[in-house]
Amino acid sequence: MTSQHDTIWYAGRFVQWGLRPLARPAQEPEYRELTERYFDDGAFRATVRELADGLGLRVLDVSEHGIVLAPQDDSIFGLRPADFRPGSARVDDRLLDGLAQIAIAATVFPRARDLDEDPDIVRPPVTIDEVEVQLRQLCERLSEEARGTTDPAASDEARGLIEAWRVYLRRLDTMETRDSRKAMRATRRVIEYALDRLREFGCFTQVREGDEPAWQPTRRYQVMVQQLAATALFQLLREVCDAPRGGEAA
Amino acid sequence: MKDPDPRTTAHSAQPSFGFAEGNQSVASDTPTAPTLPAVDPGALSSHVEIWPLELTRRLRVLLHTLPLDALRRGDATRDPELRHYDGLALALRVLDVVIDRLGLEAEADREVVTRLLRPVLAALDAAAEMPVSAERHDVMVDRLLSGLRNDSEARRPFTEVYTTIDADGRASRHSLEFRLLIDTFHPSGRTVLRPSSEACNLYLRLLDLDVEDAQAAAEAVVESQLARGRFDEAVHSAREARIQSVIFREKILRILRDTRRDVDRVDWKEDAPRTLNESVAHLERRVSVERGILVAADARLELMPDEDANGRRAVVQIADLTRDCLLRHTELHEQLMGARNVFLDAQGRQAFAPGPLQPLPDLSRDVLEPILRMPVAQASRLVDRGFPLFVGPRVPMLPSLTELVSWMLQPRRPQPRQDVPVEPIDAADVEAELQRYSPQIRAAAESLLLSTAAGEARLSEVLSAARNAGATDSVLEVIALLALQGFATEDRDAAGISAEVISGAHLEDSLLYGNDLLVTATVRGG
Repeated sequence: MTSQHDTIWYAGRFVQWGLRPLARPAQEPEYRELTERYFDDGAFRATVRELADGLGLRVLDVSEHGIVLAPQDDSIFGLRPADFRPGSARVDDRLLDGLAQIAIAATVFPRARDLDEDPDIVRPPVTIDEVEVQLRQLCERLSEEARGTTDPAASDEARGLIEAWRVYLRRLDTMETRDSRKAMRATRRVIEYALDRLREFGCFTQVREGDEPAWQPTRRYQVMVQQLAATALFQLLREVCDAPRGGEAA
Repeated sequence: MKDPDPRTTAHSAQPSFGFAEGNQSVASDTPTAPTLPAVDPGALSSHVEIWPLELTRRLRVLLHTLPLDALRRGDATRDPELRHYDGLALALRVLDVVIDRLGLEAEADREVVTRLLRPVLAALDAAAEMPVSAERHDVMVDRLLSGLRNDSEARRPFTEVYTTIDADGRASRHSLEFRLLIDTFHPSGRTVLRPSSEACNLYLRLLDLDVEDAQAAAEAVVESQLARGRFDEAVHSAREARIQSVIFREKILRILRDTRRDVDRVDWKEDAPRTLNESVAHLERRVSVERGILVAADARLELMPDEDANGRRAVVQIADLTRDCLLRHTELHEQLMGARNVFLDAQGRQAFAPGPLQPLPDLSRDVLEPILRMPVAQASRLVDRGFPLFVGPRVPMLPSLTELVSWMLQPRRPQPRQDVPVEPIDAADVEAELQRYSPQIRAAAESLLLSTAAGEARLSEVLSAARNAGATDSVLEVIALLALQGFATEDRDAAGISAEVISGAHLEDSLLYGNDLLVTATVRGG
């Protein structure tokens, strides 16, 4: 029955497998066959790439571990921070969720050269503490630097002109209250939520480091950050910084 | 041909083995900073006299042993209950296990290593007169693995700094980076332990030998030992030869793997084709030698007297090990034949791969910090755009009318019960009380009970009938117990008796008292 399908159908199946983050070629005969075919058949490869491109996906890596896809800019497959945390559309929350993602990646890959390592090498697991400390220390240093300058005007705050680190540091205070409902918005909880969601997306698995829960990056996550996310965000940042001031404020 | 970019150099040099030039770790073997003032070159007759080049190589070999040395030094500072373990010996056993499993279906993971290390740990426990504790063994295996993986430095490569004298007579400090044990993703989803090529060499005491040479040597030794009848030694050599073949296979597969991943990582102009051609020739020679060994082993077995059990066992072992080598080599030969295609395919595939390498950022310093400095509005916009890349593609849900209709039409599922009533279970064994009586008494009681209560009878009647038949007190007790079993509904089947209380009636017996029961034999007739 399958013989009546043509290359495009198989390419579609292959992309679909790539969208199931927990599937593995080692466990799915069809997935394994398609992965082999991707290696062996040039026409199939081209079709897969075309098809993925048309859908707004980039093929980051194909190996015996399967296909790793990433959403292109403005792709329908891109998960925005607004959709990440249902029921919260506040700018601050979205910003913190985004910062948590970058901090997690920065904790998994602490040095630039770590991004150049073989993605088959398992990176050590990270804990909420490690990610939190990384962010907090950075924010505290920036706060230290800002000491002596005038505090931001109230109108600046409303227009989103205060620095991002202030938003983060403000959340730390919330954590110190004993109110459990407020603690949901505390930074540790934000990071935990981020790691938990990443686990659902097949980017991390939960392990234990002594008594503490820790999150072990999967190969898929390593590929995503190493091959694209780190450099792409860096590139975006440079574009924003290089852009004329006036244009960006709009 | 050599690219000055250290990263490319590292990759193109990767397939090569050994600690000498061309090793993977050469790339990171960068001068840290010249620290000592230059010696007047005129005062030197020649650089070679001050610092023979060979010294640098030997020095670097030695540096690879330092992490093992650290494990050994750790013996004294570990928790008291772990101090009797010999870190160095155990670390070597870990490398042995991991290297032995390379390329096999069941590659070594933490569990395998723990399982194979347990006997060694138990032996060390015994020597120190300590009780064997699986928990303590687990802790020690953790220590060993973390020492070999460099967990204390986030599993980065070990970095050892050393000093050499340059050609101009200047002392300079270099740092050598290398790994020993690596946690690697396995396609099955497991994490397996693999040795680095440096660890393989370290373990095999190869130092500056080529893998190919080492294997030829090992097999030659097997041949000669077999010919001279030195079987135990031949087994040892055959094992060594097998390890060599594992490593050789790994070396070839690494070239192919790297090529599949990134064609630029492997030098396909000169290095790789040469290695592959040499490998094919090497394999063909090995396969013929291995066939020779197998033939010789068979011939030996025919000649050997049956009484020489040890000798026979050794020869069979040699044949098994050699057969394993042969199998690996034949398989590898096939892979090698297709290697050229891997390269051409990879080249075609990667020509369209995502653009050129971009400078790699330090995520904390170059990305996170600048974003934190930005005004919230600007930072949010940026984070919004970058966010999807870190979490991967999310599948948008589409409403499906078919699904909706079938969902609405499906019969209402019964709510799963939130709580299940738990019947209290009498933990006592029904038979337990009866066990106190001898089988003869029990049999006598049973037959008396069943014969009297063939229809229906009051327990009082059964007891008095039994007493008249000359039953002892013990037999009467057993009759009463059996009747009681019949009273407990859940035990009726086991007892073969059912009993009901006769309301108001009392047992008429000198030995026993209580309610009288109406007893009926149920299943077990006679």
